Amino acid sequence: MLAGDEQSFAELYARRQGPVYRFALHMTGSAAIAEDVTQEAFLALIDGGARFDPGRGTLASFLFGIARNRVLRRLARDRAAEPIEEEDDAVCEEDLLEDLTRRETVEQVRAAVLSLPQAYREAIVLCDLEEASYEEAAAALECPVGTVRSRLNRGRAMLSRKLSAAQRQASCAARSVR
Amino acid sequence: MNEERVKIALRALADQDRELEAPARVEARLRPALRSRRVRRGWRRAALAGSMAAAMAIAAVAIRSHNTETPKIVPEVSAARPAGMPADANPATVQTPTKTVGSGTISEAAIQRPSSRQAARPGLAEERIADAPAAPQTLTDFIPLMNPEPPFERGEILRVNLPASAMQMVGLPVREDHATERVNADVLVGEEGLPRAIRFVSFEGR
Repeated sequence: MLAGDEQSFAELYARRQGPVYRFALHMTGSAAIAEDVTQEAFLALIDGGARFDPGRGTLASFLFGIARNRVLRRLARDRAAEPIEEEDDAVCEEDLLEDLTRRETVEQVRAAVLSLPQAYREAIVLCDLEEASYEEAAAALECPVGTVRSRLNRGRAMLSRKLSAAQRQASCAARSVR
Repeated sequence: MNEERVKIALRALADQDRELEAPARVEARLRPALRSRRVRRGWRRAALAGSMAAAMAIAAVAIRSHNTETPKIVPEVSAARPAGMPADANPATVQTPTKTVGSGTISEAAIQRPSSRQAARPGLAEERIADAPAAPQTLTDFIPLMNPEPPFERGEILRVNLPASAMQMVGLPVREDHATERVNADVLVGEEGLPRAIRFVSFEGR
């Protein structure tokens, strides 16, 4: 592909663009930014792909790393993704599993992910949504594997609180309607 | 909600978005960039080939001069074209190395756009001239062949003979009746072997 072979590029692009696009989408919540970031990431690969060192990580982590840098630049510029205040730890143990089949609940999860602080959000998006390995995530995030693990745990704990609060609010709203 | 349920919630989100992809227009916009990279890579290869041929020509001239102790030999060495030269400019003929640019920099007067490093060391701007022929009248100043220009430490100036159409490749106007003529040029080759700049000296036989 680095020699400019279009067929190789087409195959690589078909395989890799989806995860890069979704990573940017889940990080920013904006399809337009995700589109730009995907284009910029592959442009960077075309122009600077010779810098890819398989010894330092997979191509997926290389692309995620490029996309992450572009995402962070856009977030810093746009200030579009300010984390919301964390809710208290009140836990509502109503059966969320049934609700998960509902689209609005998935949208709650999406909103909760978007509201996470950036460091935890990118770990969650990479490992839990894009199913990157800890090693791939560590290479993309330029941090040790242990840091990825701890950010994941912390991020999931934050998500748990946010989703519980959202669930509780939804339940209360439903009761008040009855 | 415990961690297991959070994972289930995240999996539901991942499943719902699994088919999301970048719009097709992204790939369409990337393809021209890929093609232009291929073109740039082709030029780089040509530059490298030209540089290697030029280096071999220098070596051949140096060895022949040393062995026969007859200066002013003008070897006819077929060479690949230097960077920035069109494909139809091949074969160029390296006539003779004209100058060795030593210990640092090139005369600011010789280059249109000297680097800041050059400007900072004007005292080193002298050129050692080995076997230099009588200075011909130059048609142009040195025209940079690399953009952006990397820092220049030292290099060689090679006299080459090219089709006049080569002048068009660096943006110079060439009259129709001159297009098939040959033109002498000086190519500045950096110590890393890459041609940095070219100046056109005179039309052949003039």
